[in-house]
Amino acid sequence: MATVTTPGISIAPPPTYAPGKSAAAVIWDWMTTVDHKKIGVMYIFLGIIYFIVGGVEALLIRAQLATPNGKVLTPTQYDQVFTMHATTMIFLFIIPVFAGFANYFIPLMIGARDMAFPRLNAFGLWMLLFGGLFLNSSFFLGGAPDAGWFAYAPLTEPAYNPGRSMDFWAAGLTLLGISSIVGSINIIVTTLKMRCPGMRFNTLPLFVWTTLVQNFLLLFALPSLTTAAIFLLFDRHLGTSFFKAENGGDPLLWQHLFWAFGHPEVYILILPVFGIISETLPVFSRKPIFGYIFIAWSSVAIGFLSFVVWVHHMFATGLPDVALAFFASSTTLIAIPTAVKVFNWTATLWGGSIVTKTPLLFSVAFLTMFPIGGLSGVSLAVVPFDWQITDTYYVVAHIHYVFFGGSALGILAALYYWFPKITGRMMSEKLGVWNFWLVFIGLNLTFFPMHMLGLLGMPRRQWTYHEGLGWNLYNFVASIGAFTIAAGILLLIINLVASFRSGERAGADPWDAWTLEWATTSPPPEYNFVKTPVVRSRRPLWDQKHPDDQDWMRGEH
Amino acid sequence: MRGSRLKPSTSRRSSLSLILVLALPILLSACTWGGNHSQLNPASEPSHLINRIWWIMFWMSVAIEGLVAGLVVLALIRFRRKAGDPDPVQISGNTRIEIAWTIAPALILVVLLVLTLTTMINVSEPAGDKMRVTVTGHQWWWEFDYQGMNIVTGNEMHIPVNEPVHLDLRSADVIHSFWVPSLQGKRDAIPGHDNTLWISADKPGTYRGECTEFCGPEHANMNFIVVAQPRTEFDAWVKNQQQPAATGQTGLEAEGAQTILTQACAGCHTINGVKGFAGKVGPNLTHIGSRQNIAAGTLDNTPANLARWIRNPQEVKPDNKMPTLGLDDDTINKIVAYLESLK
Repeated sequence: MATVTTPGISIAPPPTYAPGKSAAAVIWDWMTTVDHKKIGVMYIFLGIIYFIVGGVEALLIRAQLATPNGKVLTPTQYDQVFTMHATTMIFLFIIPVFAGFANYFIPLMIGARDMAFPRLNAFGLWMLLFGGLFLNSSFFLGGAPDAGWFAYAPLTEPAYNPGRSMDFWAAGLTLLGISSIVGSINIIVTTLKMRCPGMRFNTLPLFVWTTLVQNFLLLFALPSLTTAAIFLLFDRHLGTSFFKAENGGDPLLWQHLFWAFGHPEVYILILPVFGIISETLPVFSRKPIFGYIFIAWSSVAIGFLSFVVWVHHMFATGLPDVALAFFASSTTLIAIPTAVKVFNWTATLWGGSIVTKTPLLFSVAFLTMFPIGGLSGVSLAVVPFDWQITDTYYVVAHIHYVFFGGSALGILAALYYWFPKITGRMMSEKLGVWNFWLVFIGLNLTFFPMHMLGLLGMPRRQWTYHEGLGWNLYNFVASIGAFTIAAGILLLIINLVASFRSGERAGADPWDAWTLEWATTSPPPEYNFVKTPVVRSRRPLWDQKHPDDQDWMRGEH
Repeated sequence: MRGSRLKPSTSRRSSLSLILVLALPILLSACTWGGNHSQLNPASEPSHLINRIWWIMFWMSVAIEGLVAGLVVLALIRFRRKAGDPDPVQISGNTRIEIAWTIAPALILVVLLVLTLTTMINVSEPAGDKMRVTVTGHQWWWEFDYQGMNIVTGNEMHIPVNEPVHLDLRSADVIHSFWVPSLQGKRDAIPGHDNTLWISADKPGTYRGECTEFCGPEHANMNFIVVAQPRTEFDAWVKNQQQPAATGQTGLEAEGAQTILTQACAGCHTINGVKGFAGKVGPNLTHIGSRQNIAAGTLDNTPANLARWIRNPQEVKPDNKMPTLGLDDDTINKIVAYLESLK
């Protein structure tokens, strides 16, 4: 029988983040670091800050819309707020937080010392910070972008938008795109080239799988947005007419270019969460993920399919029926790999021995909330129904069930799951449970009524609405829900700060988990592992802890 | 909650509160189905067909979400770990089951796709001659030009009941979208494009419509109505609309007819039959007295509201293109009297 090599557990004492250095030295260290863990932490930190910024923007929107004829915001203020809410949440919260978790955990999960390109990694981080500050500085320099995060031409052309704000938008997103692209190159090369011995593709943790697919999507989708943004800058400043109908251009060209990015973008915003849930559910059910191969390869299928569905954002634009039929078909098709995963995750829970800690609560909430968004999404593929419901609050409900009920809940699960590894301390379960219930109840109070609002005819992107349309109660409930979410997030922040300062010490492996990040100290030393791990299955730590019942002995990879 | 373990009864309470949280909005929603501005209140064949698909999808979604959420909640209750429990059987998949639950949703989706394609065909524009209206979206109002009938009006479209009407959608500036939920799905009005739509009402009534493509600050106040009338009433409306503006006013109205010529109104508005009053920026005012709403559905058309609008349009509809002219009340009252006489 071949020698079984197991990953080594570092015996060095866990390093602290400020081992006796002066404050200035610590700051300099963090500013100049190329260590993937510190960079990962900074990405996550920045993402959470912008989550709060975007959240405040959401609260302003809901305060304005709590009652008909609201007077909290003027129309132009409202337009800036709703534009920046979406732009911030997408580009400055979700993408950076995912980049942070990927940077921190991919090298650990594949048994590597760092990312393939550490300096490029740092460059990506600081580009993100610069891009975020640049974009938000627009509030103080003549007005933030106000044509929606989707910035449809010709509303963005100088004739209708003479200020600087759309220039901030186009240039800002280009800067952020650079950050994402360099991050993607790094993650892809690292995953392909730096896996430890024994870690084949079908042995990769699912978080690594889904993040890999996500980064291919980023690489191929962002050029479309960058092109569109540059064409817009040309139209606005060099007298071109890419999107100006009166000179032979076409506003619809903008929509094609934008959604060719925009649709893969939404899968970019959810795929890592599919991976996170595929890590947490097994650990907290005490059994392996059900159907690893289906989950891994359905993610790849989603990746490819995501490039051929974009016109479903344009069903009402007057394109020929044949084209609409094609995209209705492709959109319906892409629902299949997503649906399958929901059943796989449910089957992971079923028959398990479920530990109801906070990461599990958020994971289970994802599993029940994301399908609501998925089902409303499927209904949007039905073209004639879409003709009625597109551009109404029904779509706002859909996107928030997938963005909040999907991406954000997954991020919260990841935070609670991986906080002990990153900081060496446990988060408070008590605060975590309160955080969970406020967010869960708040999310449903806020977004479920929006389905009804759309069906009752309320369009989206409106700064106010009239009396007597039957929309008042739903809007009011939605606004209550938004403030409930805010209360929950406040508890999250308190939990993060208090636990960082004085949380119970976590060991290397507080959840009794199975992937390689738990095979080193919490937090890991700068070099991650004393010895490069050698793995023989998807659950190297299970193998180590159950030498007589290792996964590969049962024929599992 | 003490320590890090939830007490067992909490999970049953949690599942109950989960159900309540989800059920409440559904129960609330049964109260109103949305008057004259909701696709849940269809008043035409296409919207009836679409409404039917909606309810099929709704119940299908309830069933699927109910199944998933139900199984998850059941698993949480039934398979909750207690201290000292052994590890569960380390099952990692079952290819046959996974194939089954790939094929099952695929079949449901195929049915949905077939429903999609057949409905697209069934709601397409019926052949044959019909009345044609050019709909032009402006920031932030709707212009309706009845082709070949010499009628140009704003924000209020009359159509004969049970007769399909062809709409040519245009935009004077940015992308807008024409949507009257009770009657038909929406279609964008895109500069440089020749989009079309058709509508028909199967019963008389006033149906509210909205702009449904973000078009700038007053996108929220770009509403319109479609008034479906029996043929005879519609013909009477047409005849009236084809007349130039009413003349022969007396008293305050006559003073208003003179006063309005001294103000800037003609720079933006048209009143047919009044010399020099041919502005193209704002809605045609020839028969404004007979319209139900003003400012694109923002206010009901009453003398008090019209006065309020003229006095300070920016207060009623901030950032819209009608400037506040600083007119005194006396002038405003005269103009309002005149305009309301233009039935």
